[in-house]
Amino acid sequence: MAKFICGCNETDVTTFDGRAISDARNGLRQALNISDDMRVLLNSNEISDMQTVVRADDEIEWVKQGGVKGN
Amino acid sequence: MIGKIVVIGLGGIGSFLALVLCRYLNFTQHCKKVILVDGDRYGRENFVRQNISALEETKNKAEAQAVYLKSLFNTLTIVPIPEFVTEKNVVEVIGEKSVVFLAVDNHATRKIVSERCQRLQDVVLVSGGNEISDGNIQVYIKKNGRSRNPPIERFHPEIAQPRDKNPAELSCEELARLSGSEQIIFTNLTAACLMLNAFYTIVAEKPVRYAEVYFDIERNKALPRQR
Repeated sequence: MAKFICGCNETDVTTFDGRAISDARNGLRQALNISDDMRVLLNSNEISDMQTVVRADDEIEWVKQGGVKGN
Repeated sequence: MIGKIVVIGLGGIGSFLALVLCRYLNFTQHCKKVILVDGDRYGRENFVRQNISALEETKNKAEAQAVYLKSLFNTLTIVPIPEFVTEKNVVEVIGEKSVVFLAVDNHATRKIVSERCQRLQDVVLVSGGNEISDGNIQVYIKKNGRSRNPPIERFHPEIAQPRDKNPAELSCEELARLSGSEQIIFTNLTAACLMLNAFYTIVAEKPVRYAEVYFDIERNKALPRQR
């Protein structure tokens, strides 16, 4: 099953095996708190084609924006 | 070998980070020179979550922390720079063989510091930031001209093209508005701890197996990520 990550949120599901990353984004948007402007990494490599098909052993990360505050 | 340690930002994250860092350095032989950099002043709204006495209200943060930390740790040379980091002074602030802890509250400064570090041959940059109950830290290590991981803005367009301003460009009124932004002391402290964990791994000469760590204090979770 593929692994999907966004910030601290992560899940392993088979639901999107064989489907496009855009489908995974739409399906996991709420659960992982994904926004459309996030960069996408497939197995640590950035991709731009959201029609890329998810394979069972893939790791897909939507890179959450960094925290701004701290001072 | 560490030339000097630079802590940029002495607020919610930086004030706790500097305290623990200086305690560690005081009793070890890694580095005895610490530079504290901040152009801001302590205000009453800071004392709920920043590690400094209320007696230091209106004092510059870097200068107040330098006095405080020198009183605790007598083997260290602690030098305050009471300025915001800008394009004009970043070369003077960050030199070769610096270990830089970046604990600021704006991406504009993060970008300036990151770009400066990329131009050096040997440098460590540990950057932290948070929102109310979550945040992240990032690590950038360059040794002998080779970087082990990408710059902190590589997958973060909010840092590469910051929408906020460097505080040196803000008016006093704009600065005052910023200092009231809601934060939680436990979130700041968690960011500081994760940044120090990365520092420990580096000085212990163990491999740093991540470039970024996301954390969430409500779920008590931290997730390291390679880049």
